[in-house]
Amino acid sequence: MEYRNPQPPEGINVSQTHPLLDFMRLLGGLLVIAAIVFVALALLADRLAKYIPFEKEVEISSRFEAGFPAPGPINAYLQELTDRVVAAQELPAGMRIRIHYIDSPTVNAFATLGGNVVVFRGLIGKMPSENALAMVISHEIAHVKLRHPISTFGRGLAIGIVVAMVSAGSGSDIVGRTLGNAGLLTALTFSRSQESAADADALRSLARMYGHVAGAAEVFKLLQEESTRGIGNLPAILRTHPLDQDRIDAIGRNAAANGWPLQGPTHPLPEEIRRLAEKSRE
Amino acid sequence: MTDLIIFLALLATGYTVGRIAERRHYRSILAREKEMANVMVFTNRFPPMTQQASQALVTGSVVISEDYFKRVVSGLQSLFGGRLRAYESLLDRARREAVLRMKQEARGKGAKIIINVKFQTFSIPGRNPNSFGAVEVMAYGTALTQR
Repeated sequence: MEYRNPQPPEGINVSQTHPLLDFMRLLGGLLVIAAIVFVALALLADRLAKYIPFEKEVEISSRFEAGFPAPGPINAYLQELTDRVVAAQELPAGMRIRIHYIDSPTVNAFATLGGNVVVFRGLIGKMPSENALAMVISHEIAHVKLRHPISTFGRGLAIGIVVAMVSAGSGSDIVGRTLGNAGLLTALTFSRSQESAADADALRSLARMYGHVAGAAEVFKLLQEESTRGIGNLPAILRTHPLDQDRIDAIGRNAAANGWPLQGPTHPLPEEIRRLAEKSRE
Repeated sequence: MTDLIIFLALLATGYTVGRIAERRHYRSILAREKEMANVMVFTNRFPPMTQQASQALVTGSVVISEDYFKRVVSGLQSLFGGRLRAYESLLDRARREAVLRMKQEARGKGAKIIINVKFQTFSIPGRNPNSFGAVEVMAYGTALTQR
């Protein structure tokens, strides 16, 4: 018997697939699954958020309330205006709105967990009338009323938990961290449909307060000026806020459908608030 | 963002360097396998020849580590299951290199035949899942030298 050691052919124990192709296929598959999971979680969080009691929201927000500045003389006026808006807005029982004022030139206002609404000096300075300011505050209160902050928070939390689970499961925290950054982006803002819903709710309150909706369209005209000065005009699909012109048109349609006059006598802002406005124009 | 840039840089480095090293290694393995073809290896426990021969234990051992690219790809693969293609070439290289080193030792002893060849592997980081991935592959057998 003759013994031989022939050289075996190559490629039996090693796959010939290109490693980059392999990597792209895996990454693509992961991203598709992640996108489906993110969308499903976001929808689920939106659906379920309204079942979280408002007291729970207040409990969560009490952890960061120390970060709001101490109330000053402006707060008294803002709170008084807010109370009038709240009376017109028909909030569910037990939902209390607390307004905060921040002395900063930022032209912005936002609503967050626990019925906390924050208004910046820069925004008040731009307001032509009390009606316009009431529209902004009412819009932010509508977010609270429609439970948008808690659904955004829930969405971020649900995505964060899944990302943590996936990254622990794969043993590679880098993959998880990359997904986490993407998840955070989706958690930061209200969606366009949420903004439209808040606009509609705020307009109804404005009509109930003053008998007309004068000042509402001005808010968005001002915001339009601000945004064109800022990042330029992104196409509508890329923006979370509906384009301001779309919002102005929506106000016109909404007012016509409900028979609310678009014009009417507006109330000026009180003297001290106007002085504040002068300060921010400097 | 910084995390992402570092991640991509490591991935690109791991891929490029790992790929170059793998090509070079395979070239060297193929050349040496041809060169050492006259030292034959068998898994039988009994010597093929009837003449008296002196026996000696010969071993060849190699320690290999994954590169960053292979690590990420295998991390992704472990989510879905299936063949870990990234590691196949790595372990193929390690086994063949271990055999070549064993043959080298046998040739040094003047042996032309190694019988009862076996492989053994040992994971260097043990069972710690967060550590780096490296494995030792050892080939050993009985070298027979004709008297």
